[in-house]
Amino acid sequence: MHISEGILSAPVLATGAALAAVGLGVGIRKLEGEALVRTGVLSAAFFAASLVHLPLGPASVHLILSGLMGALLGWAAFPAIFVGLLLQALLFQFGGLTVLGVNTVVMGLPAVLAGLALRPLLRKGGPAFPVAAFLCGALPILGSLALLYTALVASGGELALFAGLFFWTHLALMGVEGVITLLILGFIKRLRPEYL
Amino acid sequence: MVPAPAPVLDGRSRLAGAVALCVASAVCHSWPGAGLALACGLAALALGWDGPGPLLKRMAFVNVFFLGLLATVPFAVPGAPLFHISGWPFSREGLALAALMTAKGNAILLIFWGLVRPLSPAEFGAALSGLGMPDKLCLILALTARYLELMRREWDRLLTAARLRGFDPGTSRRAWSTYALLLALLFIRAMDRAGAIHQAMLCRGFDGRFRTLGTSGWRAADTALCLGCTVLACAVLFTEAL
Repeated sequence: MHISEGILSAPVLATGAALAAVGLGVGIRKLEGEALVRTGVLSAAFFAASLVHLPLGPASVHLILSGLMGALLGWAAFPAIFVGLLLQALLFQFGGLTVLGVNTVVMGLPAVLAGLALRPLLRKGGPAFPVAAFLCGALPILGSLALLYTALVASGGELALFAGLFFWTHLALMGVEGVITLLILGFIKRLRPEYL
Repeated sequence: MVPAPAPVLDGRSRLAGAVALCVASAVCHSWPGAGLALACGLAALALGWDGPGPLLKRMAFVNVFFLGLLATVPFAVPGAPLFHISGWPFSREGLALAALMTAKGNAILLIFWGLVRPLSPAEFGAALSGLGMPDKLCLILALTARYLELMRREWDRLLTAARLRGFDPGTSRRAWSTYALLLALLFIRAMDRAGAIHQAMLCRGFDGRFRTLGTSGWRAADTALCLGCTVLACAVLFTEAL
């Protein structure tokens, strides 16, 4: 879920960069030792997972799993997503340098907030777990789409139609990400509950 | 063993020059500025040319996004209509605006392709570290770049093993559940592996600081590249004021 270069206005790019800098500062402040190494290795695992195409009818969708990152890494998901976007720009030219801040906030902020808010419920059993796990996958997609819509519309009213189309055509991803995150978290809870 | 030839330009000068030109290109609003940015992009290709095939393929992919803009922005901008679709005017001004955004986006892609893409992830990390990126972020970047290929191979192994046991990828509850299990295993193994990697790093004297093996060394060509990019970035911005 990237915004390409050349579209956003200077104030939106600057705001995105400033917010990303704050998020990165908070994210790396307490990262030390094994937690730092785990963030780097998990970032690589999420990057590899984002290249997986999940069959969906005659087509396929590629996974984002930002909510799962938020659940497993907390605030450290912010630097992990930043690094993932940086490498995507270098290796595949998705996104770019000037939109890096906006793209980090669009993907990272909803992921971190959903992960932190739902973590206590993910550690519980009973019906709270599946509901929280589904929301952990679905809500960050809704948040990212809303932030992306906001960034586009704030850059100019002429982008409103494109932003609206982008929002509504990607909304179904909420269901896909919610279900797959629910299933993944279910397996992690059964196999290694200490990681939640 | 014959040592690899030293790169002509340092990663720091490539990255700093790219940032200056990309920012100037991103904030310009006029065709003269965008045209100059495109010219800068074409010139930058001289520093990272590896044939037309990969570049054209990537440009085609990136421009799919801009096709969406070219198809929607003219309906949202009032102006002289070129034609109507279901009563909605497709304006000339909107098309010009979308084309300007497309030109800027392609200019930035060309600048990035020429200046930054030739860097390997290790050189990229060393350049970011040299330009002042915090140690912890550099370490996360280095670890991500180091273990990305390993994680991809691990995923391939897991999927191959599942297929050998009769897994048939498709849209079914069972198939999605299998994908989820394989992904869960990938993440669990990554977290288990992180503990072992940290122990191995401690055994080798890791003290939490990020140390690169050094950049290739700053030369006169790097100073010239930085000065050239700064002048061109100022020229792009100056055309806005005309």
